[in-house]
Amino acid sequence: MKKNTQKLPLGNRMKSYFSKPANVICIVFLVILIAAVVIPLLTLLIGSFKVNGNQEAIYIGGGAKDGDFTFNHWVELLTSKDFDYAKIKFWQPLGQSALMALLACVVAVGFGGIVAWFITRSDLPGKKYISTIFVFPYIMPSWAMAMFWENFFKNTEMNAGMGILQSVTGICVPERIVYGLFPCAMSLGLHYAPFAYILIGGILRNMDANLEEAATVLKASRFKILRKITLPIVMPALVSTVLLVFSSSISSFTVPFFLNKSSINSGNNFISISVQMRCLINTGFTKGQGYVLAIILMMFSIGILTLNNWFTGSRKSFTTVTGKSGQVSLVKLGKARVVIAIILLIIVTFFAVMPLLSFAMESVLEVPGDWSTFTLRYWISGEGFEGSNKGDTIGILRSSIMWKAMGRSLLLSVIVSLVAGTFGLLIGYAVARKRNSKLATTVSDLAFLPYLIPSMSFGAVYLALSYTKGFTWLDGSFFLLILVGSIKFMPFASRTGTSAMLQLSGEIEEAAIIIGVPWLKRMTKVLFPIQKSSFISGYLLPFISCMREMSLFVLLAASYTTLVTTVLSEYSRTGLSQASNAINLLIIVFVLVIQFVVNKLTGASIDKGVGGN
Amino acid sequence: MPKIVLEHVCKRFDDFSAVEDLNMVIEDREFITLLGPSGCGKTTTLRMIAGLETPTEGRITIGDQVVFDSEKGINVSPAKRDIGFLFQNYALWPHMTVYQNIAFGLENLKWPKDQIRERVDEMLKMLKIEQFEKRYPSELSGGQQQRVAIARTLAPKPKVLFMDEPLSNLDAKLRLEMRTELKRLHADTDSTFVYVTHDQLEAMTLATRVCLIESGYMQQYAPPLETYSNPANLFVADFVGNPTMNFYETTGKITSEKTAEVNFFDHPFIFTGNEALGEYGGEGFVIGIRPEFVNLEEGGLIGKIYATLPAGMETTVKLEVGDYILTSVMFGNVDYKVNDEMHFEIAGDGIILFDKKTGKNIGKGTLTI
Amino acid sequence: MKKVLAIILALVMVLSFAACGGSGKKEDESLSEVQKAIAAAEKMTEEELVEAAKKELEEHPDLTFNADSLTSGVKKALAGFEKKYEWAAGRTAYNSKKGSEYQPKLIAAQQAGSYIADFVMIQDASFLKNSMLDTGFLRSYVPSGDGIDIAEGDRDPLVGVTFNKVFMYDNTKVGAEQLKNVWQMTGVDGATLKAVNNVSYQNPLGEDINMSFLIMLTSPTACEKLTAAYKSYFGTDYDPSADDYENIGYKFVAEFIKNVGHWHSSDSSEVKKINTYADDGRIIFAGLCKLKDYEYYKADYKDTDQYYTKTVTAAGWNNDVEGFDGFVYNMWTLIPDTAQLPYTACLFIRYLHTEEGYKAGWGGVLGYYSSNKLIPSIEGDPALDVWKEQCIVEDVEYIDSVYKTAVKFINMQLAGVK
Repeated sequence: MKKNTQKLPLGNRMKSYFSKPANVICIVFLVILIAAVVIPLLTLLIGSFKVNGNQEAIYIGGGAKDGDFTFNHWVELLTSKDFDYAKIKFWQPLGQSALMALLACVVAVGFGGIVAWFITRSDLPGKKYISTIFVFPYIMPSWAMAMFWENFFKNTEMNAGMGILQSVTGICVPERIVYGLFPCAMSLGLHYAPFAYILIGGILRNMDANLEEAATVLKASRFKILRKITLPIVMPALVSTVLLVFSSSISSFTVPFFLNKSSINSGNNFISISVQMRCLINTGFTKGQGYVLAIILMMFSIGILTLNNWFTGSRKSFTTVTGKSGQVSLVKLGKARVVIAIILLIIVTFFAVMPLLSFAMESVLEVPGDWSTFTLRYWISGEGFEGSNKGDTIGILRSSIMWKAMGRSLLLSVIVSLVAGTFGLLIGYAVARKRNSKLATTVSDLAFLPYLIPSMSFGAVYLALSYTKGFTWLDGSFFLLILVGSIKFMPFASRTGTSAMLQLSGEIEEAAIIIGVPWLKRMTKVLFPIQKSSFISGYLLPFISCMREMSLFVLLAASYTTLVTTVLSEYSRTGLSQASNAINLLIIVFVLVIQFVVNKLTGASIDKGVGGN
Repeated sequence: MPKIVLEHVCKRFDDFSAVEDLNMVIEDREFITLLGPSGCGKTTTLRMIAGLETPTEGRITIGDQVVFDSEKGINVSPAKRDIGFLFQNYALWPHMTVYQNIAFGLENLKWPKDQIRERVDEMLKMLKIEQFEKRYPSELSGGQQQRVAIARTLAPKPKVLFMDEPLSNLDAKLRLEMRTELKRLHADTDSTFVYVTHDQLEAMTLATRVCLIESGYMQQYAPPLETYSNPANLFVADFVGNPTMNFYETTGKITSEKTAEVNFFDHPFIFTGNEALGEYGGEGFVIGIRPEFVNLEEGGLIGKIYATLPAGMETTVKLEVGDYILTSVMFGNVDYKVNDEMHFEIAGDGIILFDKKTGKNIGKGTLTI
Repeated sequence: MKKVLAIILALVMVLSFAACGGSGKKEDESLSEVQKAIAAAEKMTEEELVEAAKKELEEHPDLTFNADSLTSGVKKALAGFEKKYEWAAGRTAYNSKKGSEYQPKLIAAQQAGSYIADFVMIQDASFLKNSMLDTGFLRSYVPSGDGIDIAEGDRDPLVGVTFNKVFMYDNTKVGAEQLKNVWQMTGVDGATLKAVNNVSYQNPLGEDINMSFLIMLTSPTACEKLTAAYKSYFGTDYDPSADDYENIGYKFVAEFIKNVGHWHSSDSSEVKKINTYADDGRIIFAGLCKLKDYEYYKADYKDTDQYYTKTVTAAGWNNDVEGFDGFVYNMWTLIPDTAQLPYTACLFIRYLHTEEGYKAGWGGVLGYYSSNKLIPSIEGDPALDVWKEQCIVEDVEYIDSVYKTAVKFINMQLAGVK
């Protein structure tokens, strides 16, 4: 170069830009996410503005034809006054569901957050046990808690058969505690509490204890410290939790559908927005309205996400200073220590173990609740059931189809968790290294969107893709399941990855750069080991979710024998609900065993990110 | 006014003990530094006095109030000890502006709004950070953050101020500047300062008294110059002073109450104590000679120039005597040629005789042939 | 975030306009391969069809005959099919598909014109007609020959099996004596029948068939039945001016929904618990075939004192209710236009409609009825014609014509709005 140029030539600037791994990651993931997330989103949006099929054309009337552009879905769902349609189908369920989801958030964040505080910040005895047990409800499917709730509280006074509580104590709770909005919120809240525990606990554990001590010394009361210091600092994790719990709860179908059994007159009848959405989407006449609903639900969550970004603007963000934060002094609970521990133990064990027992019970009784019909046939019988294929047996343990499907599910979940976890980790890295850059924020937000798209619609888009010319090789392929699973469950990993990476100061990596350690080695030998437990939870969460996911894969699986959850739904469709409960129990046991093995091998576990030591 | 008394304070963790049987009295308005290598228990000590850490045993009194007593089960919370604490990493709250950070403690004291405003302005001015009032900590440099942290700590006018290596994250120049300011601050505020550092120069320059700690045991608790000129033991002698003291291991015997005969570079030397000599274990001596007591170009001892390190104001000269390297400091700028022969002598009455076995200071005096 | 949204919105506008213009349907004049095969098959004798199917499978050794269905009867029938035609052994596969999950798959295949299966068995009349038949994606093959006589109305589209949903109960307290008139289901009779708030109905928001039933209740035929039953029960004629329902059907739907005391989420599990409702006399509206569970396990428990043998006799239903007994709806057996093994599909459909094939799939169980008039329903179960006479029958023309209004009305009732 002869002349002194002010700016580097474009080529060199590009070269320098792409020599930073964080930039490359951002660009690569932007492309992947736009392809994988934006396209399904667009399909939904387009679907909400056009006539989807002849049935919709009939519904809309006036000569509308399949494929026409229309505002009808939006107008109909949001404004129709015929029989109060818009109010009944949309506004009222939306309001009630939002209320339910908020209540679920309160339960999840309250319960999970309090336990997280006790585990990370106090000298509570029995932490290890509480921490291990506490994540159980998340490993179970969400309706497991709902089923347990019903079995526990139902009573003869409301004419629903005798529940556990009544048979033990004789107490009959009012119907509104058993069916409707309240139990939905409770079941979902309890199901997602471990989530809050993992996210909030992670921050609490990594948070510099000096920040709280500084306030103590300045004579702030314990409550004020919590309110003014601790809460604002854990706010990002709190909002993440609220976001995840809120969007999961509001779009949860099984729980509200299962717990809506009261008569209309009782006033307990609660039709959630998700039930309405499922009903609309599944009916040929109103698919478009279903899409409208799905979009609005997503808008809700995107709203929270934006709010979150706005609240925790970069100005207030904190870079971690390598200080003496290792010296966390645990809050002395004093005499309350044992009492609190016992209360927590009882509550946590109750909600973790009882649903499991309830599953186990359902799997060995011909008639629910009737011990005289005890049988082990759904576990061990070698007979075939109605219309069974070769290898299908009533007893799930004898069914070679179940075992093969279990193997495939495990394989799928392992691959998905590896892909999603690694993607999440990389996104976390890019976001942490390129704080405040628009690109990084966009990537991080996009990575969250798959979580907000209803599983069924998400699956349907990929199904359509697999039927498109040039992509037919995807149809029914295992690769498609991996692809969809990886994208759908990436948000878990990208959230944990980001928060873990943010805890690492850039200097740690810079130190390695200086001595010339290549990027890959920096990631695997320096950054990963430091935040190992957090990252491994980033791998475990997708694993668990993938293991028990059904609605996402049901459209895409080649046949019912593909995955253990499809086998499960086949059993329940055949009326062998005992066998499907047994499979559920088996899945939970598998997940627990794998978690245990991972824990033994790596010393990390999903709860360990929080600190159950 | 606040006088801090520590009696038999111990802190043990599961597998090791951080502080053992610590007794010390910090007088009102003193500036105490806790000095020692990393991991010696100095931060733990500070945190115990502040109430952030609970001692395993012992008793701590601040002023008239017993704030901790393991036997009586007293443990007053840090909030009620009327102290200020400056953390090593500043611990500024990332979600509050500079103003909010500083005002926080005053709000807790329920000061009226206008007085808070006034006091914060005063602090901002004093620490020259007025222009950053509305910024968030992440938008400040290390030095600025540190000054905010100081302002936050000082704002409620604490009677006792604890500082945990507050200058360790700053660059050398800024560190010097801040030292001066801290010393001024001490003079201006009428408070008692307890300051943790591993930098002996910082300890020497700031403190009215230095408390040296090693592996949880207090080694010496004395004014800085005392620790320099009359170190209680080998550890203190080694830790304090730069360049470090020359240590010469040798044999010999006590010849009278005040004298001892020692072997020094193959010559029998007489050590004469300024006062009566202390107890001797009989397994050899260590002679401690500050570099400034090694006079060059004089006397009958001969060595070879090993290296010359001029630093402007003074010059450190390393002499090779047999297989021993002796350090000497000379005022002014000199330059010797490497490997030249050099005469030297040991001068003055500041030579220390240590017991080799216990490391304890036996006596201070002169070394003559 | 805002930027992303802006981009997305902009793209949507563009794409949706593009979509409007772009999807004109092409009229294909020539017959598809599958149509040709069906036309040929319909002219063949049984032996010829067997030969054609055999040849087809031999010519395509890499293909599997895929049968998609939401009833596992097909799975059993396939086993029988393989046993009968040994050359097909190991060449068939059954895929279990739930309606709501399968419809998107069918739509995707129809829109892309790709292969989905060689045989499908589906329900939901309106979806079938509008999305599958009108688009020419699913085709009917009408089997004929000895022992096969398909009713005229069941030929195009070809009905495979007909189902019914009826009011069921435990015999201990409720019986034909008590359950006499459908108006009791609106909760008017609390004395003889504990029907007040004691009907259990699957939530129509989750189950299409139950929605279709409610819609069909507003149809002219249903209204006729309801009016007659009204007169017989209340002793007076129904006076349409007494309230502002559009017809007596709407009135019945509104009052029935209000009287449902339990919304169950699965017919199977609700029917399974039927004996636990013996004391409170709960009346369950569910598929009659759900009682198959008892039938199926009978053999296992015949020497024991177990639950099933006891309840099979205890569970009851009344096929003589004034008004109507329940709802009758179809499952159709069809061939996709993209099928790769059409002759095998024809042969399989033919097999399903023979007594042998039907029995392999649905034989010996209550509540299943073949469209082959020569196959009777099982002992103790009235013939399909009787059920059709006594029940409300799914009618796609009517459903399509009133869907919008009726569903809005039903939604309002479900939300409890007066």
